[in-house]
Amino acid sequence: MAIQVGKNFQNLLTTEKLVKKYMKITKLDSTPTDPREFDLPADFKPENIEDIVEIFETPLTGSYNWDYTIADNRLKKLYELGKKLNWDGSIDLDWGTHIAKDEYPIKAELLARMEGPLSMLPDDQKLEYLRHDQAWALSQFLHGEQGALLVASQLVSCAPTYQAKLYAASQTFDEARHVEVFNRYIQQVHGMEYPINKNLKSLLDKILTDPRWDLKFIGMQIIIEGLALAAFQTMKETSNCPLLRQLVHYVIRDEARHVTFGVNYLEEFLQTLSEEELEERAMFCFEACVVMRDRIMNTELPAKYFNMPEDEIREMILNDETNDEFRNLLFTRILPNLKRIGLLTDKVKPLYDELGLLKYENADSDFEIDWAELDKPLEDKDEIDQQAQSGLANHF
Amino acid sequence: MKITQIDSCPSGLRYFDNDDLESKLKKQDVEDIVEIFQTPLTGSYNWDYTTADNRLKKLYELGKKLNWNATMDLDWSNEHYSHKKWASLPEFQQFKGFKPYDDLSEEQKIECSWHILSSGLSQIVHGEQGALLVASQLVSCAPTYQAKLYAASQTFDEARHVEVYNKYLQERIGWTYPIMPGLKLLLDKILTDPRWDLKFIGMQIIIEGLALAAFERQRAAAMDPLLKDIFYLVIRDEARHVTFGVNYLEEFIETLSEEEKEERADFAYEACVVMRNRFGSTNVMKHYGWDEEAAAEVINQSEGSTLFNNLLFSKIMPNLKRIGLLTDKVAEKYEKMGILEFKDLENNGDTSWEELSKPLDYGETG
Repeated sequence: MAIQVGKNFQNLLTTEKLVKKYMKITKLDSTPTDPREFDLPADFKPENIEDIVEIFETPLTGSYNWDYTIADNRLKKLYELGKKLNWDGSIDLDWGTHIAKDEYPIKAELLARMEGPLSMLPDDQKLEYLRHDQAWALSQFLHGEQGALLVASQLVSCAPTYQAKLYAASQTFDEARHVEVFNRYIQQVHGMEYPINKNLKSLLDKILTDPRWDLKFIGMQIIIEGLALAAFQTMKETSNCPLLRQLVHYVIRDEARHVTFGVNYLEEFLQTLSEEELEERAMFCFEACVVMRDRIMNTELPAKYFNMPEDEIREMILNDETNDEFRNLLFTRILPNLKRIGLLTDKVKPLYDELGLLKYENADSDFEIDWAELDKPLEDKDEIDQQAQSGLANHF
Repeated sequence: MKITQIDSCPSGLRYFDNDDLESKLKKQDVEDIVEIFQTPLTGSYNWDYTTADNRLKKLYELGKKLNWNATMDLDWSNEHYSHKKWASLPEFQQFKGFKPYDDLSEEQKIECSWHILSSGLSQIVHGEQGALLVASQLVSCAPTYQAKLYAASQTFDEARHVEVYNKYLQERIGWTYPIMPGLKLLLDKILTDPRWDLKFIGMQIIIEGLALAAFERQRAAAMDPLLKDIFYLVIRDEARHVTFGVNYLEEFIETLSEEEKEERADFAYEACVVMRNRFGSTNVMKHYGWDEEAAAEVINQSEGSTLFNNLLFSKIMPNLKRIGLLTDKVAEKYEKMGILEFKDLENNGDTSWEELSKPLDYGETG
């Protein structure tokens, strides 16, 4: 089912970007499109390195808050947890436990169950394919986390309450640590990085440049983080690499706080909007979900290995029913949260239904906070591996 | 969610009734008082995740490692100190020599010392909120990957500073003073200016540099061991922030034209002028109903006070020189202010990594 990208995203793909040169910084008119391989680490000298940046403009409406008393205990608690569970990737992750270049990135039981054209490739090509596939996915995580970092930092200015500002600052730091660890993993273990998918990019552009702070908030905390949580969970369960499982697990612990914050804060705020404003937000969410579901996929890699045009690959992925189910699972977290904050309006419900997503509306939302779960000390590697294994077993 | 928007910042003293805090903090009773600012933000994605600048990477790593937590790492039990004792060293009281102050009883003078402390700490909280907002904008604005990560760790540092000073004011003092006009003016300018490097200069060099000098003085004068520890911890963070600012700006400012450089140099000078009397407690004079001009005159005439005010700039001047903003044009003006002599002091920019990396030492209360 091909769905048109809505008006929220159309013009962004052609937005003109400002270009200026300073320091040793290369400014781009658009996002890079070629994968990037790293020659480690001899070339890492400062004089050899240029920074590649792309500029965005946003009118930011910020606020000082002159009332330092704390109104919302839930946010205060989330902020306290953010400080307490502030893991450090350099110290708390065991960087010696990653897979070697000739090991498969996914678990053996998954390899055994593999069907379709991929299963028919010779072993060396299968390995190459799967490593590229994971490098692609991790690269999207990395770029997405940079987007999250930029949005979270804008929320510090935009969020109106004192405690929300403090909380957003702790989240900003969380996102920076996520960028840091995904980046290090990609460079150290895969040695190659893919550019950002252009549709993920258009979603980030929209969120970063929209002047309405609550829209940034909805886009990041509910849609992107909600989807990321589900995607990270899958990566943790299927990964063959102890280091990656641990890394992703710690990131998940942080993201769970972020989504909880988003749902609790937005529910109250959205009640103050008019019907029309609410419908605008609801439509934005739907369009964002469509982009995330149907547009952010790796078509290049299968096109290359199976010698098919990318359009056909895309059609094939969209028409594959088992795949549909898997992609829809990514929305189990988003739908109940949208319902909870009032953005599953009568107008958009049928649209979600057409996508087969509406059935998740009554799944558990993140509004009811499981403090015991959020407050648990960070798990060690054995516990994480067990969780991942039993999670995977549930899918079979 | 009840949010009250105001056109300008509040100006009255605000009390917290500690005994009645619970009932006061019920959701329906609490309104947030916000003041809006608009800024066109020019941000950047950075698509190069390799790390070019090892110094920034080291600062970022230190930021993660030395990430103290006010709730867990400090002892907030109330036994250590009370309002019956001086808030800061008796010889440190800025109104000494002003007749209405000298006429106060010892008990009243002690009370006054808490007002002076509250006034000072209130400015610090407001300044830290400004720092929080600016640091968060730098995440978008800073062009390099490592600088973005670093700015994020600083954003979190600033939030923890707002938190800890605010907690001290509410729990240990019980009242706060509003932001003073000079500081507010500077924050407004920094937060709304579209040039990211100007935000950077204003915050990392001027405000943080000034804060660093002021915190060191205040730490020496503070009587409550808890407050001494707070200053110590915050100073450790601020030292990283200033180092970051100096190292990053030094390289960037070289790429500006002469004219652009003079613009920045002028801005830095004006910011120094605005900040010069930041800690003069006019709001305390108001509270006591004292003749402000007469009180200010006594304060300004004391040599100690001039020296103290000037010393606040001892961290800023060497850093301005280092990053190239002590141009001939402005040097003259600094000379007139009597602070040019500090330019050759030991430079924060020459980072002492050993100093920055030391483990935290909760010497007073820990």
